[in-house]
Amino acid sequence: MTNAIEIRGLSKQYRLGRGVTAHGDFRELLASWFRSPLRRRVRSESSASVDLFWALNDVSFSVERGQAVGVIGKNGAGKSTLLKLLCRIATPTRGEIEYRGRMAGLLEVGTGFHPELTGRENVFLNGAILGMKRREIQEKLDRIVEFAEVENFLDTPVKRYSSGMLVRLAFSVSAHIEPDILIVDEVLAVGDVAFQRKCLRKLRELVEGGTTVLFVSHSMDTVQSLTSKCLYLEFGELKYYGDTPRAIDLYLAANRSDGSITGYGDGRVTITHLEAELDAANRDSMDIRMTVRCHLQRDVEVFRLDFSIENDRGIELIHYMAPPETGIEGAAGTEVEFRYRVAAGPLGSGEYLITLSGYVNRGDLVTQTNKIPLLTVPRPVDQYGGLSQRIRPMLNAPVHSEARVLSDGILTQAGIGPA
Amino acid sequence: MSGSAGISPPPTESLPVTVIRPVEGWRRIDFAELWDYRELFWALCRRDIKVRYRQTVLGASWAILQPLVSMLIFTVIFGRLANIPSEGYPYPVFVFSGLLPWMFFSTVVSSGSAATVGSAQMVSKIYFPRLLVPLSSVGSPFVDLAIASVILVLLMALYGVSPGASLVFLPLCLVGMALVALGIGTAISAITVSYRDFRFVVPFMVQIWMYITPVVYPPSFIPESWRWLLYLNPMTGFVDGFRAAFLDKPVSIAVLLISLVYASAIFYVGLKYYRKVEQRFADVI
Repeated sequence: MTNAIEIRGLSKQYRLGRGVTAHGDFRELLASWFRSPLRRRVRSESSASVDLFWALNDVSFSVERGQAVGVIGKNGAGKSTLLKLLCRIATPTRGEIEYRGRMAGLLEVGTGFHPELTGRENVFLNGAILGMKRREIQEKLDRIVEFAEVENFLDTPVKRYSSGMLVRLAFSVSAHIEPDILIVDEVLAVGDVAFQRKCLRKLRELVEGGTTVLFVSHSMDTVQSLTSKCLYLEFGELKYYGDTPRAIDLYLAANRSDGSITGYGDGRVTITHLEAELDAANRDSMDIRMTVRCHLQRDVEVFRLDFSIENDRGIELIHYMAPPETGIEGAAGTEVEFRYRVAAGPLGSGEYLITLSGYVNRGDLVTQTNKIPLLTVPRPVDQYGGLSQRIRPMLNAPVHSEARVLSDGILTQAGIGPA
Repeated sequence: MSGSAGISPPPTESLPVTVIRPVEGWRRIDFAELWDYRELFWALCRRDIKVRYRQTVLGASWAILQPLVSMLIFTVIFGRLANIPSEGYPYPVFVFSGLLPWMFFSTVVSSGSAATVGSAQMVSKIYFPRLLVPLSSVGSPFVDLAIASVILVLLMALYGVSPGASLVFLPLCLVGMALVALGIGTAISAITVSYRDFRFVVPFMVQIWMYITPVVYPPSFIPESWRWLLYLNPMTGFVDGFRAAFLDKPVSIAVLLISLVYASAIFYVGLKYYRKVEQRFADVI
């Protein structure tokens, strides 16, 4: 084997629900012994087969040394399971994993950090958990601390750290293990933007230095910029393994909804209708006009909608949080309409998706949609004048909102306000 | 690897190969791996000790107060009211020298039992020999014991009891107690992962165990014909041995050795059971 990682027929089965053997009560076990003392209480495959499912099913692939491979797929596709098996946290049900060299998993930063201990003590503790020797940590301490930018707080208990400092220090320890194979699970979603960039740079440095990296992320942009090959998983099966751009296209195509509004809620409010149009006076000032209708199943107070608009690469461009004073009150059975004008500025061509979240009272989430297609900005006639979506995040686009009750209710507020 | 710029990485063929396959049933205890991770063992011990002595307002005095208060209570109840014999030693010294090893034992058992569930985050997010989690719970109680032993010596000076040659058996008793406590603690630690309510059984069990061990009474308190029953409990040999070591009583080497064999068996079975159940931790915890 000259590959860094080779995986053959890897499968992992989980049991759903709760049998006598999985995380139950000792009390129940005693009771069942008492009821039928002679029966063997061993998990038998056949009797419980109904609640078994394959989190990972017959996955085979190999990774060359020094390659950065992305792992993409929806929640529940088996990404985390794959990483857990690779990191030896869980054991496979079938199949085999073979790898060469020192493997380090970054499934979470700061594993084992203790709030009462100082930054320095935690570096040594965390390093030891990650398999580093004391001497090795001693040697790298300066670099770790410098990278984390916590020099002045090294002897302060980490319970007094800001969450940003804690995350920086934790990532810094993990990043300095210098393994041959590094497994990273979305840990980059933490910390501020500047630090995320720094982390990405560090990862890129590791890859260039010959480290094999397996990288799980929901951010297609990050996956694209960091990896050359991708594993695309769906329902525990390997759908595609190859070039990153192709894998991302396949993944995005599979996850486009048909335009119907899907989501979840606690039953108080249903979002029934969404329509949007692009009002593009010129290329530099585009407005999105949006109408959302909701059906109130119960009496609600201070009901308002937040939304987040992202491009088809998963980058959030606009995040609107409705001020509570724009919230409206309505009786059960009422239809409510919200109109928005989003001064989005220049938008790159491509598809845009929206997530709507409804809140009541002081911020109780009552309903949230999945990502639904909002509109498509056409490619301009002059192809070279088209803006790439990736260069136009408009995080603070002004949003004008207006809410009214359509039937059987009293309109209490019609708010207009900036985002 | 940024730190080794300029040095070309070793050829792929020279890197060690790791193979992960499904394992069925009993797995061996990988002592070599435990040894490899010995620094983590110390790091976990250090963590527990630092946290224990930093967090509590009383700090070190906690390790002293706890056995001291128990000693006073037991002296009043068993020494004065029940008039339990104490082999000619002043009862406070007698009971204190039994309470120290017992408290060490019971603390290791209870913190070892809670250790794996308490480290759920670590266990579900990172690989390392899991056995170190319950095993490292021996560190902090050991420091407590050392501190409390100073008090024992002061107490002996106060009552004019002097130690002697029996002190050489002290390490043997400590090792023995640690083996029993870790064996039991490790096994319970594995059980509580699957059956969370098992932790309620532990304090109860430890309490009963104390009364079947000669902590507040001497072995001679039990009628000769029944005394062998006492020695079925491996802790009898070690608690009595600890007391004998300090108070310079004659030590029965045979009892100590048999108890040690016994303790090693408990330790081994506890670890073995943990290893068997360990594979399911990440799925269940």
